[in-house]
Amino acid sequence: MTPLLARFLPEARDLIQVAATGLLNLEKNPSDETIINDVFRSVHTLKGSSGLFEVAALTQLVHAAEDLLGAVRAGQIALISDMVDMLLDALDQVSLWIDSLERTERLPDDAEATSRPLVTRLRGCCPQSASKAKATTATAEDGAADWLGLLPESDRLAAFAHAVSGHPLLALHYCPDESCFFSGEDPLNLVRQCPEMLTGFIVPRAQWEPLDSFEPYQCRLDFLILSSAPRAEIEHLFRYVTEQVRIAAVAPEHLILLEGNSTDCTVCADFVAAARTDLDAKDFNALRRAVDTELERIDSTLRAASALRWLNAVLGSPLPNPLWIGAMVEAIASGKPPCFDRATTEPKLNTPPPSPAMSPLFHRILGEQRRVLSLPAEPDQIRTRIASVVASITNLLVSAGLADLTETLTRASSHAFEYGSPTRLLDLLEEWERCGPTSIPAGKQPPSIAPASPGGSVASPEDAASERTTVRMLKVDQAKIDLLMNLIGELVVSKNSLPFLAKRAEQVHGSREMAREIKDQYAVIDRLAQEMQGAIMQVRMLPVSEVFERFPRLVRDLSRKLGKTISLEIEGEETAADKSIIESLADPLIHIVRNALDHGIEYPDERRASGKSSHAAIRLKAFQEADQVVIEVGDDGRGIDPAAIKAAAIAKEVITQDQADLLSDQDAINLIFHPGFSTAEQISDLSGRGVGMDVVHNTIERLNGTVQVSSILGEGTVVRLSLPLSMAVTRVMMVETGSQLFGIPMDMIVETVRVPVTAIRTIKRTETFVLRDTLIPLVRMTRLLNLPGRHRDEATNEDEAVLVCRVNGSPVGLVIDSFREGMDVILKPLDGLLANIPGYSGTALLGDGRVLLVLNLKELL
Amino acid sequence: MKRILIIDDSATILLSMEGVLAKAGYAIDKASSGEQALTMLNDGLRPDLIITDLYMGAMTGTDLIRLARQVTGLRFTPMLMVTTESQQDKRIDAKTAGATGWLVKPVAPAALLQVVRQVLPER
Repeated sequence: MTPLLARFLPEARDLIQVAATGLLNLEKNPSDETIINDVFRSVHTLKGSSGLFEVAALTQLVHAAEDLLGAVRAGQIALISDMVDMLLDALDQVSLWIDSLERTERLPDDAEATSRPLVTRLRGCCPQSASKAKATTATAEDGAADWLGLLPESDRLAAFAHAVSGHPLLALHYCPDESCFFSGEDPLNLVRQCPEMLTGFIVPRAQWEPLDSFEPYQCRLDFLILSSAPRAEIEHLFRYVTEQVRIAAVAPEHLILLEGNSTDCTVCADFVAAARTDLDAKDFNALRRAVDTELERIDSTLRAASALRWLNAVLGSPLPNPLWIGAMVEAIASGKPPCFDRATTEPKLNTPPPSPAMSPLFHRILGEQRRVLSLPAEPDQIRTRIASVVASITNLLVSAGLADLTETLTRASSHAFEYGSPTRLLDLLEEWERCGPTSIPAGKQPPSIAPASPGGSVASPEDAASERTTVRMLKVDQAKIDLLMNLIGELVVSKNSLPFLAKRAEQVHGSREMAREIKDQYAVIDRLAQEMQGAIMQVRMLPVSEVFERFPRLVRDLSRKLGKTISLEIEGEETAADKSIIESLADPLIHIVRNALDHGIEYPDERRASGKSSHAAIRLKAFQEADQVVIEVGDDGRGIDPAAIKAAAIAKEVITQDQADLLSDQDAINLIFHPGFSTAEQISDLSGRGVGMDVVHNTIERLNGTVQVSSILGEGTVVRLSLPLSMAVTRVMMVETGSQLFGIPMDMIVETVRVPVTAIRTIKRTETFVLRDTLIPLVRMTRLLNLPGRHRDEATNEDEAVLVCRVNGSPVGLVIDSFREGMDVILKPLDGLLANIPGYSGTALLGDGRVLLVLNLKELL
Repeated sequence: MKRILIIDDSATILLSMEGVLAKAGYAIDKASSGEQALTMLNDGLRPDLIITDLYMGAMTGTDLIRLARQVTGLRFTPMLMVTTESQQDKRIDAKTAGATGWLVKPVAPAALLQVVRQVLPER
């Protein structure tokens, strides 16, 4: 598996969980923006990450979910329960696929087929083509660009030549936002990347302000560009600033704008007459010659001369358009702008473009810089100015692909610096301007505005947000923690051998000194080991929310299925307990909650009839009590009817009528833990295929926990689970019986008493004794374990050692030979061949290497 | 070497973007939340480009950009927001907050490099 996929899988699971939980909350609080944002974000992130893998079906499904959520978030549609169902279904499906990805690194073959109906359903809920219309660019497109006249005629002529040779032109007017630099934009850099730019022109937006009020960090320049690139390419480049760019298609004739002084139209009368004749005869060559002659003859600044130059350009196109020629000739004749018939566009032709025009822009910038440099200046200003000009020219050269010339420039500029005179530099610039390089891709530097380095005048952020630090979490493989736990267990046990060693040192080797030193060392190691054990146990602690988080979904789904309205309240979900406890809690809890939903809570009609709100509540509550974690599942349903339980128990032959008569109400309720007991009139698929609460009972007992049920008829039921915080260490008491040592879990033991033999009475063939007014049955351990009994002299009247334990809620006295010390042990379950032997919880290793069998009294008695 | 700071709450995305950009010769810094990124910036990190996801917990990418713009030295830094095709309105918010542009999820390596080169001039 690639590291990327390995990262993705847990992340995806987390996201799915967050989204599912959020959806359930959202159903309750549909207007909560935080929740919808959370859900949306999770799904959105999931979609984003999934796009990195070959999981199209998954991505499509998540995408559909995201769109639906997006519409909900935007307030376009209201979230209804059916949609939540759909979204949850989708998430479930994704979850399954994630599992599949983990196993096989690919989606199942039917993924596409599974995905499609789900996607269709989700899409069906989306408002039609939401926000799709907005996707188109906001570019203004109508009409021709109105600024073409700002371009010098030479540029327009070049562009015209390009256009008529089969390259549709686009005119861009890029008007950057004044504060664009503060968005990290770089208009010049952007314009430079404009594909197939024929000409570019930078114009100030307004009159420049005086220098002292000049604001250098504002962009006051407009960019005018002609490009023959496809529109899509241009729009893509400027996609971040669409509202600042106007793109217009430019027909070649749009470029034909006359300039110059208007004159007496009669100046060219002869030419016009000849031209009309040539035009009629379609003799373009003759016309071309006539134009050349006429251009030589008249003043080039005249408007007519401009018209002639354009006529020349039209004639120079690969396939001259007679209509344009006619219009031009008439324009010369009338002195008015040419009038082109809209219906006629020039014939298209695919010929190679003429060589690109000399870069007029390059020359223009050089000229401008030269002008700046030659302005009169104070001696102290001149160096600054030289530096500025050199920087601009360097940029110009680099962008024009003439970086090798910068060396020459540097030489000239260092000379200029040295003497404080720009003469040498000016000469160089003039030379370049005169016979400058050709075919330069347009690139330029606005003279006075360069994206400068930030000045730092803006105050640093005052936000406290920046102070926030993130919690660093480390995800660790469970197996590693378990290994640590095992190791510390071994350490705790082997540490226990030191006191034995100390005893040996004293008794066998007679060194009391040595014994004390060992004991001292033992104290240190003992403390460290205990701390370490505590720390490792902390690592294994998980909040009960791990289990609780599945319940909102469960309660919601089941209550919808049952047609009951039930809300779930969760309390204390941060309460932590050992991972193994938390994990084994899930099944019993699900069972209890299902029971409450199915049997405990009445249908709305029934609730109303008994004067309750039709809205039922289930409460999950977790809290810590001493070294136990307690989980209560409460409902406000009909409660458990002891009489009904008794009747059912008799009917099922669980108890006899006589026994039933003797049972207290609480004992009757406890009958629900009896194997195979179920009071539901019919077994529904909800409360677990007829397996009763006895499963819950057994599971919790196995975890050394207890289950209690208390119920008030008509008001509700509370099931209370108490579990140890950790199962890692068990405190046991060692007892000796039949000359063997056994361990008994301390939480079973109520007290230890010595009972005089005379106080033991036999009632109904059972030995008993009375402890503080309570009759306690006695069980001889030797008999229980089938061990040889201790030979005792009846006459001695010795006391019996009795361990009073509480087993299954009732006290019992265990007669043993003698009490020994209590100790913490790591309980290891019996495995292999011994795994199925009843009566033993497991084994523990004693400090001297012996193995202690720990008894399971519940199984024994 | 140009520095790029990437912020995304998805470790998967961070890993993949870093892979693409580092291969193209950029130095990469990563943060998994807006808060973390802002701390890094306030501690003196000065990337040449910031690429942030939109939704990542308490602080959104838009918030981050707005705050980062106020950090000395970042006023003119290009900042990109990673959004989806369906978040047109968010892009406008982002622009208002000071974003230079956006990337569309899922970000294909070629598109990522193209956009980075577009906003990060080789000067």
